[in-house]
Amino acid sequence: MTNKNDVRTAALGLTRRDGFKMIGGALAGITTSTLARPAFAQTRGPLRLDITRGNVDPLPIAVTDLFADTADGRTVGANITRVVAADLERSGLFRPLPAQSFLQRPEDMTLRPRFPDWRVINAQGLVTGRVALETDGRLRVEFRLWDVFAEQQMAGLAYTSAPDTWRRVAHLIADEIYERITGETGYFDTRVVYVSESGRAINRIKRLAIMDQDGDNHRFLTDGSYLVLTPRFSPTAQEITYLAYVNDRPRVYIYNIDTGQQEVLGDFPGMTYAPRFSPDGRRVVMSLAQGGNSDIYTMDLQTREVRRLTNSPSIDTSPSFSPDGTQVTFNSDRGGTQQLYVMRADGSDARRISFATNNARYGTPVWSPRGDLIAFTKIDQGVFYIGVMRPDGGGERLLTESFLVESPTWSPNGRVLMYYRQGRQNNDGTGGEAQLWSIDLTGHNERLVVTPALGSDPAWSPLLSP
Amino acid sequence: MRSAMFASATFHAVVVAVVYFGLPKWFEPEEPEESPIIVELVDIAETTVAAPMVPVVEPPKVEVPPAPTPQPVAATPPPPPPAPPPPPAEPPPAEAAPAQQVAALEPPPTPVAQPTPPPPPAPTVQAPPKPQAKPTPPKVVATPKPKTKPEPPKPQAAFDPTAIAALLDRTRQPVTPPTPTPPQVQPKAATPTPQQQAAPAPVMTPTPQPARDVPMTMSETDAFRAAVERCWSIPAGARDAQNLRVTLRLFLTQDGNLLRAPEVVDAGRMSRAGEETFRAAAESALRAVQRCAPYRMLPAQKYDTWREIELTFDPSKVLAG
Repeated sequence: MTNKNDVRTAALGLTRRDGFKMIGGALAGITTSTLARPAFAQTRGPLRLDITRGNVDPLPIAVTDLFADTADGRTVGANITRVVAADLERSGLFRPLPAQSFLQRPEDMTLRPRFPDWRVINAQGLVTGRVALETDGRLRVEFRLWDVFAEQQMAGLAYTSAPDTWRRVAHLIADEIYERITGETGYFDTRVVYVSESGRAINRIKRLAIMDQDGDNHRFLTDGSYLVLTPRFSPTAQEITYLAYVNDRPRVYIYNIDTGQQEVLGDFPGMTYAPRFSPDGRRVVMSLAQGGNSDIYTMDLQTREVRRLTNSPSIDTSPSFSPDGTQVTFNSDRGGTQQLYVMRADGSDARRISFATNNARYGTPVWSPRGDLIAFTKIDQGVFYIGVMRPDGGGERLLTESFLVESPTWSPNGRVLMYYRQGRQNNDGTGGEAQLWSIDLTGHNERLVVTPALGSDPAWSPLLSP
Repeated sequence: MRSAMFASATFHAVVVAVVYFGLPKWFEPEEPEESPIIVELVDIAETTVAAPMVPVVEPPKVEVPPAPTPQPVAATPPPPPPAPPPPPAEPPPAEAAPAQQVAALEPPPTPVAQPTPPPPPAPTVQAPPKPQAKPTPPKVVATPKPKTKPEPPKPQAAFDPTAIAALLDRTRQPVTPPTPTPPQVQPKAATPTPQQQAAPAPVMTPTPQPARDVPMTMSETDAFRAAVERCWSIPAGARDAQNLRVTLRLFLTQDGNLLRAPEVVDAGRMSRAGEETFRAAAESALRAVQRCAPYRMLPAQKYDTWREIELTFDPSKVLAG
């Protein structure tokens, strides 16, 4: 390290003949710097250090079977544990430890776990709990989350519900654990609606389908007799909006999942597409194409009043509200190529936020529910990317790439993105299969979302019980 | 003939001149740009320079047991714990069962209960630092694998270069027994740490004279920092990561253990509403330092310098965006 002194002298770059002198100088320099080295802070205070690196390994957590007195209860308890552990594992932030490694059994922890036993197997978090079938037939589930190092309880809740809703209880418990440990709301008690695709590429049947975020409780919402596209969840209710070609007329529909009620949003002269709810769920923002030009409109769902936000001769589409409802991001080719813009919710003050160095195009911007990022699709030299950037256009990060990736949708906590990936289509009409994938905001933990058939256009619901 | 000699002489003269002065440079070469080179003056430990303590090669042996790393014990699938119930030593049955004031509500699975208060810490967990490093074995006895024992939740420190520095430093560690640690220290003390028994073994050399206010050297702080960094799971992707700097105050015993639970400097912020992510970040830092202890790489003769450490965890630099 002392060589650095030499380096500095050498950097003064003298000619060769000065070599000897230089070495002498360097030696002198070393001596001087050794003597003159500033005495390090001789304070009596604490030693101060910064930690700026770490690992992104998932947190090892032990999720034990919920204990019960009866065999039935133990079955339910084990099922709940399984779903909780799967939820946590899928998030990529937790690593549930295998039950074989546990040194203490659930029935021994009804009072208080023996923490050294859990530290030995490297668990940092521990989940215990119990299940009881109440006399009135309802299910009472109780869980506790423990900090193994601090030997303290971090969370403890009980839920009472009908026995057949144990899955939701499990998701709620997983959300609670996630929230307590990460500080952010969870997203396990949610559903995903998407377009299920079956049949050959030429004549593919597209049906609207819905499932829990873990793929369970899958069901179809439409029968496939007409084409459906771009389903979007309302951020406030169990309602979706989507585009359907009924009798070959593309129109925007609203579908209430709980009641099954469906209605046409309006009959517009041209084509309406890319509908999306406002954060308060009272309006829909969409684009409306007329004569080769498309602009962005909002419609109030109560009054059916339509407002025009953009008025340009270019194609403005894919609008998405910011979570506070004050701004809208969209893509437009007004600058020559398709780029991302942000404007105020009344349509004023549009400014471009994406600036590609080459001819890359940006599309389908979606504002994160957390507000801090906008997800988008980027097409650069024939390759598709899903990425995120700040609403001011800075901090662009590309998370995944493929022949075709499209339609990002945020988990309600703004932490995970789901999208679909489609393969190349062959000349004989085979191939071109689309599947749902999810990825963490950090670019880690990319996973296939398993669906019964192929799927595209996912849309994530808000939390079922906010 | 003469002209030939003359030519030869001239030629030799030219050759000698070229050898001495170098080839003529017709064009003045570009003056090399003078760019300042940032030089940081750091202290180099005499000990690390005098590192050839290598002869004391026992350390590797000592360090081997912890090597198994934190990889799940599961890797060595111990047979499912058979019947023999563990000695009923620990769980204080007398203790009031954690109050289950869980008010039942509607059928919809709404969270019904308030956080049930954690039961008071069980005082029974024996804390005395090292000698009784065996609280768990009784249970492990059930599983015939003795291997499970030496796997303490220890930092992966084992094979890392910085750990070598630690080993070297350790040879200078004092033989003096650590001051008895209060019960809070159990997190680490109670876990069986093979090194704890082993540690005194290699100690052989100079009795350290506790130097006062000796500055830590770069390599020493780096070794310590590296150990903590390995144990810290960053709250990656958290919102407002730039505002999640957490400062902890650590109090250490002379053998590198935590004297008591570390403190969060801005502890008030942890319990504030709307600061859940800060609390999560602070807890991740706390877990990191507890999981990493003991910090044997700290040079014992500089104990006065590091008996109290303020560690600032800053996740903002780890995250893009």
